[in-house]
Amino acid sequence: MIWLGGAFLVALLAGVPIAFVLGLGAFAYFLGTDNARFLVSVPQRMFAGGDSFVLLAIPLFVLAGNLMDVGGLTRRLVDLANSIVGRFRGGLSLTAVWGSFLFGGVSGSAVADAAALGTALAPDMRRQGYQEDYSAALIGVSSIMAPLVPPSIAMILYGALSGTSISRLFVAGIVPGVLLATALSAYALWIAGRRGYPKLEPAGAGEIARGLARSAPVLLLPVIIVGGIRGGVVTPTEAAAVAVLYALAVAGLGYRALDLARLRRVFLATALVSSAIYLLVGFAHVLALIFALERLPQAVVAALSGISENRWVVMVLVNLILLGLGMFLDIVGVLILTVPALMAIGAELGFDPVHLGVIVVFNCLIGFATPPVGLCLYVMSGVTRRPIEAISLHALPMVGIAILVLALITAFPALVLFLPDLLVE
Amino acid sequence: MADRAPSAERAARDVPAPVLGFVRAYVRAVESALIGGTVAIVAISALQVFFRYALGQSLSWSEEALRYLMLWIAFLGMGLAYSRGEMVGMELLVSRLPRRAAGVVRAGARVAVLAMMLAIVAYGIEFAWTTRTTSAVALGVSMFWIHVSVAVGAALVALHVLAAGAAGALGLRVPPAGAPRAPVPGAGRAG
Repeated sequence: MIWLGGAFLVALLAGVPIAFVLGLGAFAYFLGTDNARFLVSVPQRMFAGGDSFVLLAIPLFVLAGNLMDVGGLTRRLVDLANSIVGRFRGGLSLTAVWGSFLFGGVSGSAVADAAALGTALAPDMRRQGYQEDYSAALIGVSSIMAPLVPPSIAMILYGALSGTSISRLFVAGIVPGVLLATALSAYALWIAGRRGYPKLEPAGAGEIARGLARSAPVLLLPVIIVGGIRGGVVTPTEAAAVAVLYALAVAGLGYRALDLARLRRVFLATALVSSAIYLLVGFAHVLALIFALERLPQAVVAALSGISENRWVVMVLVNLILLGLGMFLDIVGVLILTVPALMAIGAELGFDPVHLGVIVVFNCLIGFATPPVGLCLYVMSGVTRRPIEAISLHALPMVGIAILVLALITAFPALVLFLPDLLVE
Repeated sequence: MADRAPSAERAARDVPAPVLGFVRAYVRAVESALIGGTVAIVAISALQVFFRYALGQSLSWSEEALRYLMLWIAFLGMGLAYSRGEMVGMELLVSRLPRRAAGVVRAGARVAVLAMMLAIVAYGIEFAWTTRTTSAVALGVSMFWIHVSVAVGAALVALHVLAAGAAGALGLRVPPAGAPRAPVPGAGRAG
């Protein structure tokens, strides 16, 4: 494992893309430990890793989200959120929070969420007198909700790596997402009250209804997805295919926003993003072989239970480790490295795999809003041209709030599990 | 595609014209294959849903075709995805190094990745060749044509890493020949 870990660390620090970091770690292990005979099996493992019908849901959901975005969905969602929460003190900041939540129902990617809402909202917030670093931090931290609201690429990957039901994972993310949005709203209200941020003109019932009607096609997408895979009517992949057709119809026929050049761009972008994810998954499958050879999951469980017999103490340790990894690694990297061990821990200590999935994803998401590699904060820094340090500083209390929500959903599994128990067989 | 930045157009003179022509043709071919493949993925999966739920009879070949097609798309696109920054690394440390040191570190990293990719090409061809006599269950084609995608993908990544290294060493700037960005930046990133 020293070979793997050493090569991994060196490559990571040298700025090598994470997929190749995984591969170089594996090669160093095989060469360094006299296991060169396994090198022959690398291509076979890479192929087998991606050879999965469930994984196909990822490119299809990415495509559906990209198509929807061409249809100008960000503006529609922002207008809708404004008409509902704009009337309160600091209305625009509440729109940032709940707009993020709604956006998550289409894209399932925090970085996309931050980029879209940051571009749409940050200029408005500046004009209304919000402190710029504060609004950038709020949008950045809110955007981490996207992967909690179905559909979610991270949840699909966790499901595929661990063999957990993706429909249950999708539904399980909703309550933690609502909790985080509520907690961030409370904080935004408090700040707005102290600093006297403005309210928006209260919208009448008619305006709200119009906003709902204009966004209805977009908001229906997650409903169709969850409804479709609920109880196993369609598989997640088939639901994703339906989502693409639906998005094509909405963006093309409904919003008349598709032409050939845009379609080409959207399809190409989807293919390239999927390529990068599949490469990661391929090398992950090579690493899984090493983890099995080294009996790594068992070793981790033994080490953790050596520290304490108490399952909650172990769980706190698991969270701390995941938080630490999430601060430095991409979410896919964390999933690939930890899922085998997590499954063993869950089985040993009696934690539900769905509960664990939400916990690991939540931990990684917090890493999107913390230095040194908080991608969502970097996106906001790019959008607003404000220094990353100032944004990070304003994000700190919000990250603290997110960690509190994480502690809550860790300690009370029912918060995560009751909705899937209710909705999914 | 048509809309190239003027600055990229100017930098294009740095790259010899025949090389540039070849690069453009390659990029166009790969892009077309990726777009066509993704369209086919949508069409076949839609067909599968239609047959299963509207007609009540499942297609025997669609699931296998989708899996193998997606793998081909993924491996074909890896080189391009690498060059267009779809794969991020942790630049935190390297970007703080002095220019020369950073250059050395980047070159070393490229050599390591290149060596690994070439090994995967060699083992990938062996892997595809040993499975040539088996055929795909539903599609009936030799597994060689499906498994060889790994070697092709690794070869393309090697090519792109090599090109990036050469461009860096010679101070060339290869003009972008398409629209690399997602409609929303990072739209597909897993997080």
